[in-house]
Amino acid sequence: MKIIIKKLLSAVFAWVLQLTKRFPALKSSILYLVQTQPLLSQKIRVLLYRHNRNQAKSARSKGTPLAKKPPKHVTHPDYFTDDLNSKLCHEYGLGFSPQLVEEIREQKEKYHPNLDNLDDIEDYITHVFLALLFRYPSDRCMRNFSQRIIIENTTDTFIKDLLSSKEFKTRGYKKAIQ
Amino acid sequence: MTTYINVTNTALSMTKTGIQRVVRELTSQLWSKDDIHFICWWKDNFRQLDDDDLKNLLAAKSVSPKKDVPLSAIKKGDIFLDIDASWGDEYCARTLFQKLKKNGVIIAKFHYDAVPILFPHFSHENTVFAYSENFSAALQYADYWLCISKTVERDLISIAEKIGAGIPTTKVIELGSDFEIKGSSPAKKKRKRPYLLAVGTVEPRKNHQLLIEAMDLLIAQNIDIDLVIVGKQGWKIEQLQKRIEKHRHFKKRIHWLKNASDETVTELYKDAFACINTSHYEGYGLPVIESLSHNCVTICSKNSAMEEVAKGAAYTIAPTPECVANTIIELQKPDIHEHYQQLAISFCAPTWSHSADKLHSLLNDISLIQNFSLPATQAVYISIRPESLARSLESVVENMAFIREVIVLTSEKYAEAIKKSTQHINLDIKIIEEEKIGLVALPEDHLIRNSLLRKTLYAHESIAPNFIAFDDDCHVVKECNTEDFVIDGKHKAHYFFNDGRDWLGAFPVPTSFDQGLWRTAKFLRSSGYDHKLYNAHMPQIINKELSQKILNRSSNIGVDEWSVYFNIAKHLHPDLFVEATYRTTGWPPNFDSWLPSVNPERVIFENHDHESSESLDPDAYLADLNKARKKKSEISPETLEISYTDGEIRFSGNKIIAPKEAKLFIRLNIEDLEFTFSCSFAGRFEHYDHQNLPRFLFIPCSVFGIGKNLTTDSIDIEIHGSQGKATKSIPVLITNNNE
Repeated sequence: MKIIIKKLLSAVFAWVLQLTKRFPALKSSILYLVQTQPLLSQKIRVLLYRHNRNQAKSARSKGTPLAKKPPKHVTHPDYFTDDLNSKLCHEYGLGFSPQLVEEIREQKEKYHPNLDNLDDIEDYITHVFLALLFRYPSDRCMRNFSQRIIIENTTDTFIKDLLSSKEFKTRGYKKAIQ
Repeated sequence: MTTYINVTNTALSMTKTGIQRVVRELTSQLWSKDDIHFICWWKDNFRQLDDDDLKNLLAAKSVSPKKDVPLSAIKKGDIFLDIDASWGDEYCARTLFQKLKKNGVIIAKFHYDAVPILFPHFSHENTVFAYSENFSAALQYADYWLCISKTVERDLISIAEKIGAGIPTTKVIELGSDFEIKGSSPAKKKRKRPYLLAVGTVEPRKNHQLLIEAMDLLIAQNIDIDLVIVGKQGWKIEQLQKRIEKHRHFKKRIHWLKNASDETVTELYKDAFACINTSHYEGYGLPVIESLSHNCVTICSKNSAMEEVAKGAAYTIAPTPECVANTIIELQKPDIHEHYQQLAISFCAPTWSHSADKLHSLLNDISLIQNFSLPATQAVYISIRPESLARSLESVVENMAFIREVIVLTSEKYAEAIKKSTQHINLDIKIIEEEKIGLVALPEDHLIRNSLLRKTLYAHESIAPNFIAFDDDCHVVKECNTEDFVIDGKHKAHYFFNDGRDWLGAFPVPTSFDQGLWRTAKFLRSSGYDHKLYNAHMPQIINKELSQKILNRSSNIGVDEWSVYFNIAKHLHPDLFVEATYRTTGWPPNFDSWLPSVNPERVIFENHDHESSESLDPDAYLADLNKARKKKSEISPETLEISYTDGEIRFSGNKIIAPKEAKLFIRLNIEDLEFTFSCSFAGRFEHYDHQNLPRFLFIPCSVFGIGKNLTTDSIDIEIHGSQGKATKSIPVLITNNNE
């Protein structure tokens, strides 16, 4: 029953989206409502992501290497640090980005997921789990955390929760060696 | 030298099979050695296992080590042996290796296989992640790899080549397998038909699917044989499990014993028609050794580690259902079956004691070099310039009395000319032609070609254990003795540049030589070695054995062979090398572009091409070098550096103050991957992007006006990076030296 309602809501939402293309005034009204009503805004965001989620899932294939970035130029401060793990992952299609894992561990915070893109959010959650807990998130974790990031429109609480989790404290990433 | 063996994973796990079994067996054999300590990561620290802990470790009981082993206690020249499944450990392997290398520790990695990389679909995704982090860190930092089979060694090298890492220095250690054969269980009901035995956990890598397909073929052909699978249920086999258990011959012709005791397995080996292992991949193939040790006819996949460890005693096949079926039919001929039975009976399994002895001797060999103390009386050249070579050799005859013999590597084309040009030289000269030692179709890249030439030449039988390597544009200008190369039994390593990362290269387009030096610094730094530059075109003493080991490691990545040799050699053998500043003039030929980070001392050599100019006077050369340094010191700030981080441009000072004759070399550090870079100064405009940005900005101060009262000019920088546009104006004050 729940699934049918969700599907129905998604269909309605898709229909509303089509309508907004035809009637710009409707679009303005919805945007006004979204901006002025935070609760409604949250609900719409979650709905929107649920709608996109299935499409995103079907388009995804695990193990696809992340987009290739240009190599570091000799003027880049990290040029002299060879990242063999990135090359290894790329060549053997291991499906994660060691560079991103490293950035998360170093807390450089250079990478922020695009909060309007579910794929990006899920990639981010996956990499935070790998970086800090050495494991992939379970489906349940992925569902809960991505929903939370969408609703809160920030990754801060997710990171905070993970860092204060028992799992991180007992088995999480520790860089410091004496 | 002490070896610290990291047994964390085994100490903390109760598992008795697989890697943990290997670690326990080797630990039990090496326990009594005084030069070996067993350590374990324990509550944010390494701790040493005492006798009680080791007893517990061998019995797969919990340990409680007490003695801390801080990383600082592991000293220069000591060995850290990572023998365990350390990708499951809690610390960050990369950080650990980095710190150990910084302390001068030699890292050795025991390598079982690279299945999570080669076949990620056969491993759990969390294992793939943890393993790849550990493996890539080891690829960067490990000085030695101890592989359990040639197959694993070959795959390791192939991975390293594929990702552009240096070629690992490897040794193969055959694992023991002299396990105790358990008594067989009291005979139960004998099986009606002969049977094929497959022992091992049922998981995708073991390829049981193929056995089921082969059985279908055999049953269809009315071949009288059963299949008995012995092994617990692994993971990712839902479909296979269904296929086995729903098979119409399940429990009739196809059997699966999930919890067989050791005694039952022994009994099964005893009566089996043959034991079969057609895994997709095995790092060693212990089941094959186990089967042969039970005198059982053994079938395994061709070109695998299983074939390697069976040493000809197993029937090897291509892993296809048809091949398996045909092999079974073939083996039904009594004489063939008997032949393989005899091979199994005469098979001698390697012992753990032999493995441990080999491991111990390899660890000891790490610090030994044969004939290191033998005098170097041989000069070794690579040359295709007969006249230059002759002039260099004339200077050798005049000033290096201890040189008795010369080896020259040249191409067939120049061999005759070199013979002619050097015939008047009173030295024993041997000319080796590249083509005759397999050096054909040489790589175009200068450094890759030179590395290959030198590596191949140095391996030649006529090369002495220690020799002096020359460039043909080097001249010996003063009397030179063996003490100029060896002091107190240590080889001198002469460098001219402290840090290869500071090499600026040519402006605005770096040469392939510059690119090679940057690759050199990158390779050495990433591997945790020092990264000084040693390629000053002066003769240096080289040890043949060490050069083979080291140059092989970097032969495929286009790096400077001199710098790689000395930086790695002094890490591996800190007691056998001593650093010294270089001793040649002519490097650099002039002081317009770059200055060495150290001045040459007690000059006895000259790097000089006589075809283009007159010989240099050492005193005048050094005076000019000092003058150039003085001129450079008049520029303020001392370090000129523009950096771009977090969308902001920074300069290493407030303004540039420099005399009119000075030349500014402003180093660029841009922390972005895609950007455009523009700079304007004195009415000039330069524009670059991330693909063609030079290593530095070169600005002769003569382009600026001289301010009477230090009126300012400026260098204006604009960068468009991933974080938008940033600008910076750097004031420039040009002083008039006459004022």
